[in-house]
Amino acid sequence: MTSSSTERPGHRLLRWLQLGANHVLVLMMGTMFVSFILQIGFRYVSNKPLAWTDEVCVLMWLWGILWGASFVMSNRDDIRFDVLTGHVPRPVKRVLTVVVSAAIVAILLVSLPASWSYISFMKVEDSAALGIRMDFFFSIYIAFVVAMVVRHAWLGIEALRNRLFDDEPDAGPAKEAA
Amino acid sequence: MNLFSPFAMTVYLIIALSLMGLPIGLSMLASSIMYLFITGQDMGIAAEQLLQGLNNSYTLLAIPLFILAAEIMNMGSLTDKLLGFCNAIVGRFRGGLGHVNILSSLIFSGMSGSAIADAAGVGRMVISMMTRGGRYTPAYAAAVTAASAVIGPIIPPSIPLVLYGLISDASIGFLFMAGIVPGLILGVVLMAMNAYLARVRNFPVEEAVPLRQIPGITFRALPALLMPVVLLGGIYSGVMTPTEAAAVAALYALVISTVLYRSVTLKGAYGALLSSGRSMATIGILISGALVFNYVVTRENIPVTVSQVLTAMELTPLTFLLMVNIILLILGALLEGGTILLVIVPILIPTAKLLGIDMVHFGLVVTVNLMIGLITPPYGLLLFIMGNITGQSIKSIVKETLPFLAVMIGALFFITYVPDAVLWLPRMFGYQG
Repeated sequence: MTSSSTERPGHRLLRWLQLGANHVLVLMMGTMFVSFILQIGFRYVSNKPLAWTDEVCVLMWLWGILWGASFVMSNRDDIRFDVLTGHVPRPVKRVLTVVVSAAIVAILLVSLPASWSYISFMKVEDSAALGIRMDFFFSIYIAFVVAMVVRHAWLGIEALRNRLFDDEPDAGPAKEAA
Repeated sequence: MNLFSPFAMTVYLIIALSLMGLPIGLSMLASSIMYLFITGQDMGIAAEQLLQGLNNSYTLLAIPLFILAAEIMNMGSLTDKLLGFCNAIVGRFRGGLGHVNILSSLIFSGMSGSAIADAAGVGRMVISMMTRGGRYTPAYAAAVTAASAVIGPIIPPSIPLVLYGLISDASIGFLFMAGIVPGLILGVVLMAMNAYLARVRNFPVEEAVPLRQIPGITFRALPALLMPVVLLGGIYSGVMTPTEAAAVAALYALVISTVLYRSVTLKGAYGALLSSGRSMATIGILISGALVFNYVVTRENIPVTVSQVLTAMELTPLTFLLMVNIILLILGALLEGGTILLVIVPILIPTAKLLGIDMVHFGLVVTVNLMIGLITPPYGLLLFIMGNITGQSIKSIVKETLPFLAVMIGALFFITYVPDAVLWLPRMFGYQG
């Protein structure tokens, strides 16, 4: 990160947004954790299981994954197969990045109307305990698709301009996949 | 099988996109959308499969919670206390710190479900102990750490076993129970190899911790040592589901780190939540891609086709398991374990069932197999993490890892062909299989 005094306003805004997105994810994880503890606590202390905790946990899981993938994860956090891309010359890697980015942007955009119609159709259903309309429950998927389109379009444009995401030094990835 | 069918095209596209550097989860999602497009189906099915799949996979919530528990423990001085304890017990032998490394992984694996968390947390600390004063080469320290981190997801709790429970419908409680003996077997063979190498290469002997200090050291480490007991006790007494046990594990780690060891700061807690959230998103996207792709696989009736082909080959259960061992060892060296578990293993399960292979046993075989893949050159993830931590070349780490890899593959075959070794413990707790 560059020092804050010299950065352009656009960058500062991005950094603030990033920080905000991180706060939201932390809040989601915290909520999930606390709901679980409440759920177990209530079942044993008062023998009255709470109905809403299950749903909150699942909501946090679903939103946490798609929110995290859209706005918090860096390109390095992703699980990729770098057997080939790690060893090809830079020009080839740039071409591959452009092709892949174009493909994913196109595919996701083509599927967007159908995804939208599925999710808005779900407004007929409410969640069982909290009565949240399911189209709201699922709306994060649209945000995810849009974020992926923007991110990969950006990666493609950057590759055209000879910048690749792994140029920057490693900032400490958090891969805990297995 | 038709090489130009829509399904074949989908598989080619996944391979092509991931080879070209797209994250694997997104490759599966995009290719499955293409499949829906080519076959003229509603592309909204992708969104439906992904959202309903995540929404209905309640047991998977154990994953972020186990990661959170491990993050909290790595943050606190809990690991220090554990290492002190391990050193007091096995540090006195030749190659002692190697033993400390393996024993601490064994104990730590009873608290975390992830090999990567083990290697990056407790592993990092043991490496610095081992290399201090040039007693062990960094490459050897890295090799022992990588090899012993493999035990992490085999001894419960275990993220891969939770995933396997989801795809096979086997009970996660019994799967966890079945992981204990194979995990201990792996610990024993690694220690034996370390002892052997210590004699051959004349590794240093540490100053033995006086016996009268051991009770005190054990007492200070006791809250940490009790964690697996709390966790497994909760699950097997029927008090908690494995998912709830994961939340309790995180709470337990938080409480003892704050109250007893006083090592939790607000900033640290924020970091642990953020880091586990990122890990959840990383693995969640992989799961999402697999959910959508599994719709394609099911729709094309692939598991049935595979099982027909394999049945026509008249495999015995033993040859089938041998085949699975070999396929997974090869794939495990090339692909990330979660991908194989979510995409390849579901295709094999119907055949395993047909051959009468026990699903809990099969789960352990698959998991041990995949975890060994983490240290198998050329692309074992743990080798790269160790290279990153120690600054050693992958080649030098691989060279030191090979003896450990050899004994672990030996242990894998034992686990594969002696199902009773895996199943006797769950059976004692009422498993009917």
